[in-house]
Amino acid sequence: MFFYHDGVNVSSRLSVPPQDERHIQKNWTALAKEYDIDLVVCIAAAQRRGLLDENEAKRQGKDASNIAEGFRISGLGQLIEMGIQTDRLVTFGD
Amino acid sequence: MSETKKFLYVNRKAPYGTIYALESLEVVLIGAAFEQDVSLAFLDDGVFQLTKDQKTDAIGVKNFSPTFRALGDFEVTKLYVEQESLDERGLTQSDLQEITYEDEDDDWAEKPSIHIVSRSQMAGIMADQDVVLSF
Repeated sequence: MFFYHDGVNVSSRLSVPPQDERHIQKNWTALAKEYDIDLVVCIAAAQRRGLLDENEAKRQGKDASNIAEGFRISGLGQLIEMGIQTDRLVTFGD
Repeated sequence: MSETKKFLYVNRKAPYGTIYALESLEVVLIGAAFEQDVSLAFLDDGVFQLTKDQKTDAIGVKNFSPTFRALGDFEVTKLYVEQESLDERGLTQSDLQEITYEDEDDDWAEKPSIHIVSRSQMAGIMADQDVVLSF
């Protein structure tokens, strides 16, 4: 699973939706744990939107990180690699 | 990685106002390193991405349109632009940048990268791909 564009916002552990709404980040984290899914977040898109893991936060001199459990940051090459290796690549969103 | 697949990047949004166009180009440039068969499609407001003489100083963002002219160096040489999308926006090919590449199989002859195609031809191009990424 690759998160790109505004999709990277899903990976923030600081989202606080109202209680009667779905919590997409929590749902993904749970799904990834249950089925051992690799949740990859595009580093360029993430940094542009203020989403950092601990390593990146340190490297960029920021005082906090916000990537949720189960997500990991990697490069766009992963998306291309997935396109090459998989039988079918399905895109959600616009 | 022996297999070569046909990748099509579909660009449907205006170059500025949202980040889609720039982030699409970032994928194209990274993907070029993987030596796949790459094509780009421009339709709807995406055709504005290729217009010439873009000036972005007043909106405080980088004008990335010159990068399209460098795509040939990355062996990205097929840019399909939908005729109907141009027509609907009062544009013609003369409003677009001239983008060329040097064909290594033809004594490095300079050839145009932009191909204006009809909507139905575009459908055929899309149907012919292994991977379609839409932006």
